[in-house]
Amino acid sequence: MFEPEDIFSPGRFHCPGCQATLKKAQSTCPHCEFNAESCLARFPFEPPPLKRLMDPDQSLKTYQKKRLSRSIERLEKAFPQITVSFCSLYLPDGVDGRQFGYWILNRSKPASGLDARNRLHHLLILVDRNHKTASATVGYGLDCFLDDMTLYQTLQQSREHFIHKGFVEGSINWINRIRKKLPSIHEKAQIEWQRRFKKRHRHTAGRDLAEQGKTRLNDEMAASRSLSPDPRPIRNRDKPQLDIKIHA
Amino acid sequence: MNGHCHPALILIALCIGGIPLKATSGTIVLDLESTAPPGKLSVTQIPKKPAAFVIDEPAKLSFQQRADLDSLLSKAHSAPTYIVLKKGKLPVPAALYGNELLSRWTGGEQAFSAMVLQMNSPIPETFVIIAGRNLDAPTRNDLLQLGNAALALIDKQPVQFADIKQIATALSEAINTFAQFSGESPFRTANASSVGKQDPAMPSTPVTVTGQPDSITRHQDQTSQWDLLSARLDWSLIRILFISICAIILLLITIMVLRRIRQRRPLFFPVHEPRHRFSAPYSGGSNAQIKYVED
Repeated sequence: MFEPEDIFSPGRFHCPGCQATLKKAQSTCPHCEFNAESCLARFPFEPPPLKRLMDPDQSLKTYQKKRLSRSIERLEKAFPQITVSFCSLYLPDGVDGRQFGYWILNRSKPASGLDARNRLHHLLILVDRNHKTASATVGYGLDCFLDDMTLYQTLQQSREHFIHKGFVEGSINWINRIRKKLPSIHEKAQIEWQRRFKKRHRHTAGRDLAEQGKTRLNDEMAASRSLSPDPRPIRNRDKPQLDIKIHA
Repeated sequence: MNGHCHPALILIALCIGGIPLKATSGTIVLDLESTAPPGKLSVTQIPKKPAAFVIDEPAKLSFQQRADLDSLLSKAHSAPTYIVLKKGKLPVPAALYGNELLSRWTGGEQAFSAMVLQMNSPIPETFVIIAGRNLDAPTRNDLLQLGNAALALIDKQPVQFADIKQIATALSEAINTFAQFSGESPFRTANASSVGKQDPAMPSTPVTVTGQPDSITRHQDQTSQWDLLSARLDWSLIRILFISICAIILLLITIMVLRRIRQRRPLFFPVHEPRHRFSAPYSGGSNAQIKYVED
């Protein structure tokens, strides 16, 4: 297994709390001191499980649900690793969609070990009907491919659809854009992977598979007990580890 | 053999199959009276009436050979017989070509005329064309047999001078004898009076061909533009081109289908160890947001 920055050009991270750009992975934002604990304190309740379509206010019509579901299905079929969720909410004032997306993606309980593993490649589209915002949040497995800039650019390209045709059409347009953009991103990622670490990958392929199996087992165990973060240890040991996790 | 070769083999077989390897020859009997007047062929396509009886476009015959043939054919007075050695393909089917030539050259003077037509193509084709006026069915049949008998004098294709001479001599003598026996004037008068009273059972086809493909034994009232065009076209080349284009189109379709399949195959991103941020298990806050209201 490799660190993403070993292979792919590392994207810049943004703090979900203050949106400051961070170059290094950190446990607490140095600008606003945002971390899992502060996020948990902000939303101290249990989120619903992540589904393909989440519409607690019943704001979507049947045909809109069908269309959205079809678009998501096409994306998931083309990229079986990726799971997509669409969430339409009416967030109260003062709540940022990005922060809420970060919280729901991490806090929502996976249905199974497989779901927990797939969560790393999750793509969440969150529409806040109150503030008229659309935000996209991705898991660790995708963030070095679908970086913030790509997400933002594609959302900007779909903005006209959001404005003139409504958030459902805008979301469908965005999903389709992402689906069309991902093959080139995937191709680039594969080339990078093969070019730099072909030999090493061959050498460690067997070990990786064994690790994957082990991870799966761990995930299943994790899902069977209460929610917990990824049991795999962080490679960089000298980094400060917080005892407080986002999961209660 | 590799399975990929099969389409190529089929293509080659089709191409080879499309090239005629056997020469065609036969007798054509024309009725100049019931055939519509020619005129569709341009002047350049119809050779002028020869001073003697031989037209040798490919210059295959020597001066002596030409003179020999001319003197031989000039003896025939009742039914002129011509030898036409054509260079390349005919502009129209042989029957139409013979009709054009003989009707122009003979006019209304003779009741019968004949022609040995040979195309000097890679695979030589030889035709014996006999033309008459107001022919009834028995006469036509007799002429047909006569022409076939002349062709049957040689076993193989008449590519040599001796063969051509043999056919021409036999044909000239036979047709002259036939013309003399049938009696030029009475025959014509008798037949002319019966033009309007033809046996309804008899086909009104003015051209009868034996030893020819069916395409020639059709009604040929006049030279149509299609006849001219189709005779000019090189069908074997067109067939090869058609097959090649089809093969290319098939290849392109296959490539497109394979490409489509490739595009539709599921893609997987490389799996890597996640670098956890903000102590979050699944997502480290990678996100983007837009506001969808008019500025």
